[in-house]
Amino acid sequence: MEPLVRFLEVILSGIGVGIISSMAGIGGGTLMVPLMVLVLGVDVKVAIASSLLTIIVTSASSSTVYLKEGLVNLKAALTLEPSTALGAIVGASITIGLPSNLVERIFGFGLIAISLIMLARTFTRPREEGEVKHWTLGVLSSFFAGMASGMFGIGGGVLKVPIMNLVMGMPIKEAVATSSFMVGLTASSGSMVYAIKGFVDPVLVLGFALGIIPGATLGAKSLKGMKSRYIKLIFALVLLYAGIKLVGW
Amino acid sequence: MDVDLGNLPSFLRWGVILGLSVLAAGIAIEHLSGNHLIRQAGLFIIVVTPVSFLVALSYRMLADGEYKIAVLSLLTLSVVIISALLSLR
Repeated sequence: MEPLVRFLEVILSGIGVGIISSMAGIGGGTLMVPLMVLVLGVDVKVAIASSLLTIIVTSASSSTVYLKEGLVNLKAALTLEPSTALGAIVGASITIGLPSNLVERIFGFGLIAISLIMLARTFTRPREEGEVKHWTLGVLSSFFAGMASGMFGIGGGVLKVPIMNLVMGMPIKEAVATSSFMVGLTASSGSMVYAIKGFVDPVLVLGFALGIIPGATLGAKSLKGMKSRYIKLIFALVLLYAGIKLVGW
Repeated sequence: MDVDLGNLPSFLRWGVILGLSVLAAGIAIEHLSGNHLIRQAGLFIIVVTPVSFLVALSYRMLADGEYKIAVLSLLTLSVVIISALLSLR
């Protein structure tokens, strides 16, 4: 009976992640790992690895739609992805080599940085139109976005979208769709390293994947009439709190 | 983007659906008999779905004469495979 209860617990957490992440307009990785570690008591490396595999599932679902609608800038995605994938593999290898308690602290710092980026983005107006430029800078910054993805088990959209939109001048809708496609490839590269070393918990992957998809639909429906800017602000503050708790301040 | 991908994007969705189904069956089988091979196969399918999509994309782009996208796609694929092989060491 206990494994079934645990599985239901994971699915419910996945539904929660789906609702919140779709309301805040972000991928689930930033929320999944702290939830697994702080609430479900999972080891941080297993949480990161399982989160990356779940991200592949959620990204495949959304990027299928974006690719069909022709919103993904394939040239940009495939130009930026080699350095991003390389970064993800380097990040994953670094995390695997470190002790879990240190990874938890580094993850906490990463979460604080991500929450500050999210807070800044809440007050920044995205570019709606423009021509893609600064490719070299984009490729270099993508390496670090990939590294963050591999190290922290996140998709990295929180970094990729500002890089493509604010640094490279890609219109916001195209940047979101392109990032969504890239996230799956980056997560696949990072998760290969973790899967080879046996860090993945299959029950977490299945439970979160089954929970996130209906949760995201539910979240998108309940978003109607709510101000997404305030939701993003609250979400960034929750992440900041989780980051501080993981660092141990 | 003016590249026609046809039904190719559905490959991603069906790949992960297949992976999740095999994973679910594998978890149940492991619980009953202790055999973890099918569970591992499910995880493997999920991990390689995006990479396999790149293979299919390169093939499609080469066939359509979109050489730039095909080369970029193959480049991404090589970086992922080489880096994953290096991380095995």
